[in-house]
Amino acid sequence: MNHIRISRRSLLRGAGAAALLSRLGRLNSLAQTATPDYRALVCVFLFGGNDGHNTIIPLTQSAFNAYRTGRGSLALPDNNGPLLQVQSADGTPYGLNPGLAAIHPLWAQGRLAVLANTGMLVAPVTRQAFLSNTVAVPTNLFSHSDQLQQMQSGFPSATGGTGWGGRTVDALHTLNGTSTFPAAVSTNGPALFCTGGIVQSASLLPGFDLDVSGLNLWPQSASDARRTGIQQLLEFDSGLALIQSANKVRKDALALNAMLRGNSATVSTAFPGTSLGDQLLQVAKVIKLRTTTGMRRQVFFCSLGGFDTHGSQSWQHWDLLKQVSEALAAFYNATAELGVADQVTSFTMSDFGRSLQPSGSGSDHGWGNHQLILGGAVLGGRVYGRFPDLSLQGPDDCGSRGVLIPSTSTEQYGATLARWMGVSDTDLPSVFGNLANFGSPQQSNLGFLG
Amino acid sequence: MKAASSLHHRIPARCFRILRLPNAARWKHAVASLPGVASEGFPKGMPGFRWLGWAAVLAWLLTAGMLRAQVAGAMDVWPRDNTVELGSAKQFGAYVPINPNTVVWLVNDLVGGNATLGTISASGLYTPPPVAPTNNVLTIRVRSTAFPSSSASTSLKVTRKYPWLWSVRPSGGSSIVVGAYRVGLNGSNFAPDSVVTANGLDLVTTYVSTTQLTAVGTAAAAGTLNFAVRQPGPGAVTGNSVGVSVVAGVVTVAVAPVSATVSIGTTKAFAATVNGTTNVAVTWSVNGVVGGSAATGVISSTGVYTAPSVLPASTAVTVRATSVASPTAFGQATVTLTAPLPAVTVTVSPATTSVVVGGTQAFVSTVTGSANTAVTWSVNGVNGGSAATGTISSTGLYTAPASLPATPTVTVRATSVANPAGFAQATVTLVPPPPPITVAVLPATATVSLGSSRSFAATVTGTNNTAVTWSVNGIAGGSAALGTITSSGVFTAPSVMPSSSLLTIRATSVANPAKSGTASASLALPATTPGELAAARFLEQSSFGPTRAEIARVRQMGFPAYLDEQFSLPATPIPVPPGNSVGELQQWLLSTYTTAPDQLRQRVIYSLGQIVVTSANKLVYADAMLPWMNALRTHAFGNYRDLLREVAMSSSMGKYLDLANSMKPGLGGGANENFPRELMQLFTIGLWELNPDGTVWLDPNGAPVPTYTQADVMQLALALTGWTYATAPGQTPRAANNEYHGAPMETRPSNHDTSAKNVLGRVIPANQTVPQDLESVLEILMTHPNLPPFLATRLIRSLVMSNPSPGYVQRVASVFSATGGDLRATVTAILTDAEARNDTPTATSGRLKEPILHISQFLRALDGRYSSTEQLTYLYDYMAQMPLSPPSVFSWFSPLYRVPKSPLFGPEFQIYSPTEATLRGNLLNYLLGNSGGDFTIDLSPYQPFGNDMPGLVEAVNQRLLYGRMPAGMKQVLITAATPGYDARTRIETVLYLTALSGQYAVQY
Repeated sequence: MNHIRISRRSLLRGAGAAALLSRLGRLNSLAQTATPDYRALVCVFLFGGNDGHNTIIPLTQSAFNAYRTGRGSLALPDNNGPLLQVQSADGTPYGLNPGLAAIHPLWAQGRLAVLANTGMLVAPVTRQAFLSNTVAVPTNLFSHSDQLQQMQSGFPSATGGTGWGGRTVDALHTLNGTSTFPAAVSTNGPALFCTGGIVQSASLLPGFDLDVSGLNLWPQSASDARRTGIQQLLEFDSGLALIQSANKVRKDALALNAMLRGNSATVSTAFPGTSLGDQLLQVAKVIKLRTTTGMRRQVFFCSLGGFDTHGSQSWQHWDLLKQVSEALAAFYNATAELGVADQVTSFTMSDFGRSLQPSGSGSDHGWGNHQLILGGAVLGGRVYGRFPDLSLQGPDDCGSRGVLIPSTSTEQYGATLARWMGVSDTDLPSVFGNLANFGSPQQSNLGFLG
Repeated sequence: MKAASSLHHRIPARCFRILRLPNAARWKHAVASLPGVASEGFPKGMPGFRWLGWAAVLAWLLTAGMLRAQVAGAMDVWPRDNTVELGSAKQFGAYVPINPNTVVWLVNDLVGGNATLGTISASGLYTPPPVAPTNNVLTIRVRSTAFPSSSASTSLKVTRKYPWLWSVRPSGGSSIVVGAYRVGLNGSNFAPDSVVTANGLDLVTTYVSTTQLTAVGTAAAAGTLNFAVRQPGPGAVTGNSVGVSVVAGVVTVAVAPVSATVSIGTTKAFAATVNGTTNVAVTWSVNGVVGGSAATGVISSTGVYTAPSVLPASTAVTVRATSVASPTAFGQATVTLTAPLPAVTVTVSPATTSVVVGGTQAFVSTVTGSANTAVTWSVNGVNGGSAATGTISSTGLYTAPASLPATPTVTVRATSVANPAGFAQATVTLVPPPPPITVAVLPATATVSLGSSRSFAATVTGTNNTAVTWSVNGIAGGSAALGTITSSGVFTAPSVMPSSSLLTIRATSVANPAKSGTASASLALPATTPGELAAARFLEQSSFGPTRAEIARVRQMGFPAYLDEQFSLPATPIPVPPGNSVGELQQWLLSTYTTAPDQLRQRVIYSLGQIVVTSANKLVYADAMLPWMNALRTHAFGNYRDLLREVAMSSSMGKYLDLANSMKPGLGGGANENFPRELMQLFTIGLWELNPDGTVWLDPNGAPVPTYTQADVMQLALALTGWTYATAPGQTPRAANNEYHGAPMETRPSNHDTSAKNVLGRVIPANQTVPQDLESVLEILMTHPNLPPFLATRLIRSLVMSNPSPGYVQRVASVFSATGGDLRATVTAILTDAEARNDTPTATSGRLKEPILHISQFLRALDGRYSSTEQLTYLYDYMAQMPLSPPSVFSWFSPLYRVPKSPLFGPEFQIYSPTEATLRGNLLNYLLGNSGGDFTIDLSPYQPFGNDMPGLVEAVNQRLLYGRMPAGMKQVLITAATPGYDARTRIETVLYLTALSGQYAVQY
């Protein structure tokens, strides 16, 4: 009963969103309702602290002057090529890092958006309040180990045994019915982001289709006998619930192995042969299996390391963004191939932003950061949030080096994504504990998903 | 990474010191003549430039052929003929009209000077030695290195610091009165050997501080005294003088004592003090007669009065001292003459005695020869005694001092009031207190099976009477229900389990019944010989897996004795990894799990480490992990309070949850709440109020009740402010020390909030020290009713089963409570409880094995082990249980996690998804086929069954499933293994498939 009620409600919301989108001339509502109910979030975590300052650059003259003054030797454009020109909906010009060439066209197509200056916050804080220490801020800002945990847990302190991706699908777990297939999947080993109170922290490693290593014997009859033996062993009813549950997990693994190796998981879109490309290809395969697994709400966690660019930043950062954009572009094309482009939203997160002022040939740990959001449901071609004033010691600088005070919290960012997944306003506070500090749940809708 | 760049900017200013120009107009061309040097610094763009000395730049310029040597005039040095004070420095500059203009600096013709003369830097900065040289006029010379015959020199006098005298303040007024005086002097640069002079004459001087001296002297006549301060010795210097006027004073004479009673024929000494003149001579008279008379008594020139031999008519006489300098000035005393005192004899009893420190002794005096038998009591000559030597009352009751004085013998004297010449005394020897009587009972804890006996021994110290009486739970000799104990300490357990299985055995001293010692006896089910299954199940719960040898040992010893043996085994020491890497610790740990003899301790450490958590995710080096690991190792069988204290004070937890450098509000980052919150939520009481059986307590509306509020967290955080990292060797302690893991954290009272705190409804008083507040916090948490069921539930889930009955939790919790948090007793209660020892499972029995246990148990079952250099640790990361590196303080999985789509708890299922299950199965398969470097296993026990499938399956059934394999499963295994190519393949097939089965994946 409960399951049906929620499904109906989310279908209604889907129709509402479709109507809005069709007014914008983007989609027709018929296509939306014809697609089976499925939604997925794909987090691409840029470990080390992506330099948002050189991911998107403001090109109005005064803002660019402030950028160039603060950025010094790191200021773009550099040898890696000219900036990729984009315009926000209000006509404000921006430049994307040339490494983002692969997803640059998606901006004009309205599939790619940027959320400006977001980061972990306890509550809104101004420069004056920060400097006078009168408003609580997250613990251990600028520390990798703490901040990457806070970003994933969604708690602005070192606490939290679950991640906000896991909690998002916790809140929606009834939509997945009786399927025990993992609802929160990491493609780079177990991730806190995916751990829920109800759902498991599951991982699916790229290139590892859950092949069982003991089934490669000669002669074939020996292999077959082992496989049959395993399958039969898992069927014994021992009368102990935990043994049955353990056997169920292994049975699911065998079933998933067959699915991943079968044709139903084949994706024809070409992916770059990078780590992130492999991970997103794995995600695409799992999404393709959604009707077989019965999954209707899933979150995925992919990641790429190397963003802690204290030195040699120029080429390194361009190269990392090139990997990100090529993998994301391929993934977007794959979702189009699978007919779920409007039902899958990819987004970036990172430990923190970086200092505007360079330090040697790199930059230091920062706080607020710009993030990329990509998908058919994204109201793209816009910069969301408030683009910061880049003057050193300006109103958005928490010190003197262009370390941004976030103007939008990570929790608002996550809540906008979770709401699109179908988490109700009532349930949002169970996913994001401090959301109330940033206004009502409705006020925490940043609008990039309608 | 950040520091390197700032140095860059400082260099130009530093490198110009050599030619810093005191007079730009006169000297400017000294620098300007250097080609290629920009006036504000170094040439731009020098490759690899970080910090180059000036000399290096010149060398560079020379090799570049940009300079040619030439002399253009005479050298000069500046400033000339100067002085420098100790403790300061003097910068010299040189005019060097020579190209190149490189120079060296010399002190008394020593390049760079030396420690005695002082040193001079390459840039001409002269720094004096700590003490001025004996000959304190030095020659400072600058010499060209290009043309060493060219030089310039000047003299420099090294002096002590100039002692400025600002004011002189005579005691008692603004001027000095003729005669003895005392003055206080204010100024600066005073030294301990400074000498005050008055009109050039040295005074006796006392050093107070660098700005204050006092001196005493004698002013002979009115006029002015000019004071100055002299710093003596090498580099001596005398400072400015300050004059003080001297005025003539009024001469006064005072006689002491002013009155006296003197009996006929005895003497009495008087003293006269003359002020206002330097001539202190007096003449003594009695009743106006200089020197006195036979009738009134005579007085000597030194003031000693001798009474007449006959009592005169008037018994009052006046003794007067008249100033010689001013005959009108005098002082006088009144003497009352009395008849001769009676001859008295005084006795004191006892005459010698010993008194224990803090004890008392009554003395009795007798006085004969006078009707007045009163005496005054003194100790070592002090009436009434003193705290140091003991006090004595007016009735002669002596109370010894609380501690032994340096001289432990004192004299008690009774002096006759009638004639103070009559006295008697006693010698008191003070002795330390005898050692207190103590009673200790061994063993302190013991497990005794129902119906069996166990001997306890009592050790009595502090008395020769070592007899004791024995009781059980307060009942002398015990009782049939609780068990009996003989007069020699042999305890015999009852045959039926009493309501509480934990008993107190007490031995009470016969010499002092207030003194006793206790032991805890834990009653256990009868030590029947456990069967193979029972022993194996016990070892699955108490070790990292049963081995054939351990199963045999448990069966031979029985559970209680085996537990006692495990409790008494020495704890495997934790090595300090040579590379300080966590990876080395992880290798050691995985290996230790499979090999350590103290398996129970390792298993309990492993469980406690998932409750009181740190992680190498943040503690990235081994040294940061070790204090936490060692705390768990030390206290695994100790008291939970001691464990919490050591962990709280450890640098590991200080860093992991930010207790280090947590400060009171207004300092630093303020009071950090991470550790306080987790201390309550995860380490002690949890989020919800619990019933004693571990179930969540519901209020009358059926709602769970939070154990604490945010206010409690904040108050607790205040109580735990004031800790910082220990001061690293060679470092100066700071208010907030840098990270250091060589010792427990230190306290910083100045960072500690001293207000009163209200935590969980209990008050922590104000003004406690940092450790006292920690102790108060531990007291509040250790006595919180949630802690026993909270910890019992977690330990049972980790060791025995995911879904224990409430009764099981309550039984364990009550042992934790009754023992005040004793982990050894708690672990015993967990492992000996009937529910744990029930070998017949129920539908909700068991717990899923997590990767570390699953793999370790498999290796140990096959007589295998991990090598301490194994390279397989990374696989545990993929299986979501990287040793020492849980993803957060919530550890690898939550003890509150439920099996998906089920009401049952199944914590380990949180990290058992299809990928993890497949990876675990693949590792089990790898272990079967790759014994050698990373690990070893032994399959030889199965070799005889290579062609006997039923025999093989039965052997594996016994080894991995302890005989519990269902018949149908046996048939499946026989069918699956039979097509195997060879015996080895068939053996591996049966082991592999059994290891994959839910029957082996779950510990039940």
